[in-house]
Amino acid sequence: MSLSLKRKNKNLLLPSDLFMSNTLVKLTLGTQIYLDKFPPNTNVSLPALKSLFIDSVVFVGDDLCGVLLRGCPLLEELFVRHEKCEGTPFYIYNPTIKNLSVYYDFGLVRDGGMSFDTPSIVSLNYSDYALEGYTDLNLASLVEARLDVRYSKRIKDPDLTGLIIGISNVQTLHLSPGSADVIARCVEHGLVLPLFKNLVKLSFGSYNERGWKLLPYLIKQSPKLETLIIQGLDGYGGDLAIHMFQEKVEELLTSIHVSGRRELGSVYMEASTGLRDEISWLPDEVLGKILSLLPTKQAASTSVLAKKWRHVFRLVHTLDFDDSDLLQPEEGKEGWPVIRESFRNFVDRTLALQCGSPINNFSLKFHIHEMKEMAHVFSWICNALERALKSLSIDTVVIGRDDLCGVLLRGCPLLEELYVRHRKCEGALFYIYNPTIRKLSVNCEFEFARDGMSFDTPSLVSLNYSDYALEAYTDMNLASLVEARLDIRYSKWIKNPDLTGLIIGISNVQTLHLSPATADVIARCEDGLVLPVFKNLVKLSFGSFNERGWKLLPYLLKQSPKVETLIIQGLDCGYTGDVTIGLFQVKELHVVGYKGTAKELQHLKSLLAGTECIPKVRVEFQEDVVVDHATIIQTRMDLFTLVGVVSIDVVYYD
Amino acid sequence: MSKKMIVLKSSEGVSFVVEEAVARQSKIISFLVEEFPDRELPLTNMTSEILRKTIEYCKKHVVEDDGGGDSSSSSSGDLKEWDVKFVAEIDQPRLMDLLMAANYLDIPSLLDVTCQKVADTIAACNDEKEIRATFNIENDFTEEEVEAIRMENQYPI
Repeated sequence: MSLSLKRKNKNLLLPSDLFMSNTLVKLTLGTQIYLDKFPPNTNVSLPALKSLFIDSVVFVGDDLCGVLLRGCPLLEELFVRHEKCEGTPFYIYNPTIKNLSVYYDFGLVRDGGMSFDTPSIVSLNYSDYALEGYTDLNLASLVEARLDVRYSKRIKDPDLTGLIIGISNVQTLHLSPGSADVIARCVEHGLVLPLFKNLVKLSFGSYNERGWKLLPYLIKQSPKLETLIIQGLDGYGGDLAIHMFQEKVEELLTSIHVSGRRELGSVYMEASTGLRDEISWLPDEVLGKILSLLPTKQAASTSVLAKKWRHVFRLVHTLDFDDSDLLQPEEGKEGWPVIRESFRNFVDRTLALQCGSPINNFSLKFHIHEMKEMAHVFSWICNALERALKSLSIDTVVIGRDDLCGVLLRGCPLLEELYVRHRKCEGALFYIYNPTIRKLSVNCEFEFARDGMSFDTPSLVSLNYSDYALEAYTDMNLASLVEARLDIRYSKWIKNPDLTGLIIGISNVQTLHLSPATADVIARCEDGLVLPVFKNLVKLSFGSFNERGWKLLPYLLKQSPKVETLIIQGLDCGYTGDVTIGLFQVKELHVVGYKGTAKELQHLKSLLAGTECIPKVRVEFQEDVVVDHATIIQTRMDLFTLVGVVSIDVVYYD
Repeated sequence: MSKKMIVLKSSEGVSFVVEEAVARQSKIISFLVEEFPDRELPLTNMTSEILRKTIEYCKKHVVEDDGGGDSSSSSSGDLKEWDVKFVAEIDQPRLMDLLMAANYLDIPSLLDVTCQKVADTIAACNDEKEIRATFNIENDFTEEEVEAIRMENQYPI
């Protein structure tokens, strides 16, 4: 005999003899039934009851286990479900039940956590938010456990220790992605997994990297594991490797193959129905990777392709926003504020849409037209930096003077690359300091005199600096620098440029590129500037457009005892003077932008006068020069007679 | 010294014998080779054609380190050119299969170059209609839905 009572109204009065039945086998109570406190000495006698299903029944105190279950000596199956805290049993104890299912769906902190004192239990199915404590667990006979324990923001420090130890005897364990996440969280906070000495079958899912990282640990603690079922492979494309014992790996392979085959399988099925969609079947993370290679503007436009593409755009990990993309009506005209606002909204929405998922590159080009826009810019950069950003590029962006280094970049240990470009003095950065960045590019395109420039970036490996020559370079800390590329131009507005600080700052580099303008401006400083010894420099790229610049080259080479490769450009600069460089140490000479004129050859001849042999020479013709076979032979011969070269490489463009 | 060879088996059951160093560019194979040193590795989701292409790529990119230090089989500039040609010669459906093979076998550089080719193909399209036509994507939106998304998710003009 079975009985099912369901009622939405409160305070359903249950006949008292309901709980006195010798024949009732299965009883279902629900939902929202409020039971009054059982009077003391209530006699519950359900000697035949095997299954009890309780859905949102409000019990008072300990009435479920202490009174009701006590009168059910044969009870085998108990199912309890609650959506509200009220009347929910948190201490389930019974000596006879074999199957227990508990579904609780409210994320409130509960005193005392949860207890299962059920020594005969064989199968446990437990779905709940992760609580702060699991005590009095007695699950000695447990064979199979299915956990779906979710993390709740409201329960600060979930501790699954008791639960995990309680179930550690199981042979079969199912962990939902939510459980994997929350167990991994506990492991991060010190949970030590017990040995699952009987576990032969594990079903595991994860939706994030944290969860997947748990899997190797779990497998390590499960020496008898034979079957592994995994789901959610598309949640994380990381580099996690699970090291398994030989006999188990076949199972793992099977499951990976199954998921891969399904993806491919759907394609083969579509292939027979005419034109197949060639791209939409790719896994989301691959589509996200592809869209990341597109400009953000175009990536966004893919969301109208088809329903499947609606949300792919949010998976991109490279974002670039450029307000010069806008077809701007003249400032002040009609429509202008609307377009500005729609651009701001687009950036806001895109960042919000991604819900803080990690991004690699963030590039922002934004002309500030109103002060209120500064707050937007600040919050965008802030948002990007909070998301494990590796590369930040800002162009024309105005933020408060010390806001970038002093506020935004502080606490971004993952940032490796910073690109800054300014076209106006307003908001330009003059003091860049950061302990972690490895690659820095600074490009200032305005001529005003400034206090100077500082790079306090001890981890920097590569510097690319383009600016007008300033009067002071102070607080330089470039101890790790390997490569520097300078394009420093002379401005008549800046009277007494002094590059001393900059040149000394970069003197540790192995590779140095100096633009023709830079050669000119360093040569201008030469009166007072004493070049340091470039003790590590092995590769120098040098260009000049005037005599002053070329005169710097011998001095520079003298100060660079280890230089092996020299790259020169600008041989046709209109000067064919008598500057001679003794290329004693140089093993490789590259001439770039060569045109093959007599003037250049003459210049090269005077530069190389006295040099006996350079083992390797490479000549690159300028892109617009037509090079025929005769030119190549002529160039080889010219150079051979000039410097007795062993190997001449001639490069030209078709 | 003879090089260690391993056997990869395609979905049709065709066996490919490759040098271990070549195959090890796949992180998955690298892992499997350590676990099963002397076994044939079944790649049941890869056709012979795609597997052959994948091996061709890996052969070109294998770093020879039994010789003099860091000399790779080709200089990096030449290798890039080779990559571009390699993906240019593959038709679109096979490119997608190759991309999935790179994804599955975990060969990052092959995944990068195939994804780049797909991205370039998308970038060459003028509008979403052209993208749909290029990849045979069926538009399952109504016009109103497209407009709504465009309003919500589109770059301002």
